[in-house]
Amino acid sequence: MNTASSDQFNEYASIYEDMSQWPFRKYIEIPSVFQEIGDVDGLSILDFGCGTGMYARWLKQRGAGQVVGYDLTEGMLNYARRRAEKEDLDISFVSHLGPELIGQFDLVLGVYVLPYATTRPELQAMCADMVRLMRPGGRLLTLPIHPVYDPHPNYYEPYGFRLIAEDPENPYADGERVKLELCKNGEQGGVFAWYWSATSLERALEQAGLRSLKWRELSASAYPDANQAPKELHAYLQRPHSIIIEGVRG
Amino acid sequence: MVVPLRDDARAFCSGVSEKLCELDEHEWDALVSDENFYNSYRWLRALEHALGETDVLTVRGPAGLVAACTLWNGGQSPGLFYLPSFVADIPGPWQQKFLWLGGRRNTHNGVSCIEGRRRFEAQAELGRCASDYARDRGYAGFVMPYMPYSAALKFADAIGGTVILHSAEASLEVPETGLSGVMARWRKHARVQSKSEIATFRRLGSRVEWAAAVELDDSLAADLITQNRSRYGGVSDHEWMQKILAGQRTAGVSHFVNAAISKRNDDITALTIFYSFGTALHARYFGANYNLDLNDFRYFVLSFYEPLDYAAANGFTKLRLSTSALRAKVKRGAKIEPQALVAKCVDGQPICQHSANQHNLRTLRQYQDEFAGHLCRDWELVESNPNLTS
Ligand SMILES: C[S@@+](CC[C@H](N)C(=O)[O-])C[C@H]1O[C@@H](n2cnc3c(N)ncnc32)[C@H](O)[C@@H]1O
Repeated sequence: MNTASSDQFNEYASIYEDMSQWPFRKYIEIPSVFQEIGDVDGLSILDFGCGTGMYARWLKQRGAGQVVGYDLTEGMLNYARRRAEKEDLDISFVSHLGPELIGQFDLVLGVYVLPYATTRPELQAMCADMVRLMRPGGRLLTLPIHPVYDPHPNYYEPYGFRLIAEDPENPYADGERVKLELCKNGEQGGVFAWYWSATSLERALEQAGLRSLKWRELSASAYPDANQAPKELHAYLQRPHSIIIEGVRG
Repeated sequence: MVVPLRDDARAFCSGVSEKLCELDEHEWDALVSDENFYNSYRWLRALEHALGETDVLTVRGPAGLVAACTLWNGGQSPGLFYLPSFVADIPGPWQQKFLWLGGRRNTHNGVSCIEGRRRFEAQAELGRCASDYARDRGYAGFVMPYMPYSAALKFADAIGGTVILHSAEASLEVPETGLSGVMARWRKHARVQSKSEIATFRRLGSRVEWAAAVELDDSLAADLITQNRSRYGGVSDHEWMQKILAGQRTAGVSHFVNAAISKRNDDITALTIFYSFGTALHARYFGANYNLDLNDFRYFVLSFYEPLDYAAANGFTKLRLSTSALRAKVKRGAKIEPQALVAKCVDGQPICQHSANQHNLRTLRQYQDEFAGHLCRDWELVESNPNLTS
């Protein structure tokens, strides 16, 4: 658990919520995640690193049973709690994983949270936390930084952000820091994330007890043929900055 | 370990006079913790609908709002919002105009601000902005009143202000077992007394119903609340109260309303209006029909006993009982929390630190004398943590 890395997010609640409307999320990531999750009716779901709770809210609205959002950042949790309260959605947002949550969930979702493990032991601990929350046979869906994201600093700029490896000569160095700069409406600050290779991610998840790991590329699911997707999305679809890993608790 | 990004890209800037209605509700509320209901967006908008718009101070970082508060002028005559009576024994320009930070007539305030590492810096910028605003408009200084003491210390530290203990608030932790859990902690005598009060309420034919805002008649509620206020020396009239409730409906505050109503036959004899927010139920208004000569303990049943069970059943862990009638509340198990104002003068004249410390210690002793055994741990801060800045 690293509070320093999550502390970065305290002043970014609104912009992360807003980001759900940015085209790369709205037309690519979010539909891909929902397609992969499938029917949520009655499922108990924990949103790990829930941020403003937007996935948690949508899952609840789509018929999920118990929904819990977990995050370490109070600024994110304030947003999440206030909004769910106003929308009358019965979701509990917690900053602590109590024993009552262990082994309870049919699905654990962790969108863009593994990149905030700053060291290998932290990556291992985060994976273990996620898996421990799942019931045996429960599913995990998580979105790390894509092992082969495009390392050109400006590649993702048209999508509202830059992903800049600290060592540009060696962008895929395991456990290296990358800077995520937000630039959709001018320079809007940014956070540090950590790059983990496919091998490191798989090893950490398997060691935590996850089986049947599958990697799923993001797609614009409204367009079965990627070439039919709006042109603005093409570059992202060719080199998405994230990917879905799915697995089952053994 | 986390190195800040480029400092120039992350500086804060502050501004004045933005209208609340032009700000994004959810962005504002991301700064509002579970404990700060009376500075949440809808509560403040409700006040605007009822009483008119006020200026707003905002502090922004590169990604948006990081701190904000509404402004008002406090009360102009002795009462809950009259500065000279809070600070009579501390030298200062208290008879001059002071700017008040926070919602109008709030008796619980926190700074709406980002959490974490940059909170201090964001509060400091808010303090600078308040100073400029006050200086430009001829105020002698500014205050944020009714803050939890520990929050006041941090705010004062950030803005170079002075902490002045001036009030106290009652609250109750709600056990999962509700009223019976609270009673189990009491001495037998207190338990017997409360049970007898509840029995009397029932014997006189009274019962409790809970209602959401849609089921409430504002005119009737305003009438009962006004009766209570005039009985205890308040000046607000029926029309004023009705305007407040109407403002709440327009702003969507009524979404948070849970009212405990006592009835005899079909007549409403009293009500307490609570707001549910975060993990707490906040008691705000009590009203009663005093034309009925009823000694049925409805105040305690509606504001105390029933809500404990209601809170427990609905997953709330705290009952916030406001600043009045503390003696009656501690007799029924409430704890008393210290409340302070943070003050800063803008003419360069510091508030005398020594006098403020003496005042705080004297106030602490008064509460210790009067409420021994009922004070929460934060009172220890008054002795251990004198004002940090001058
Ligand atoms: C990039 S945001 C993503 C938020 C959300 N999942 C979304 O899709 O918008 C990453 C979130 O992970 C949280 N986080 C980082 N490290 C964490 C940890 N060890 N445990 C829980 N949450 C963490 C941060 O506080 C932040 O809110």
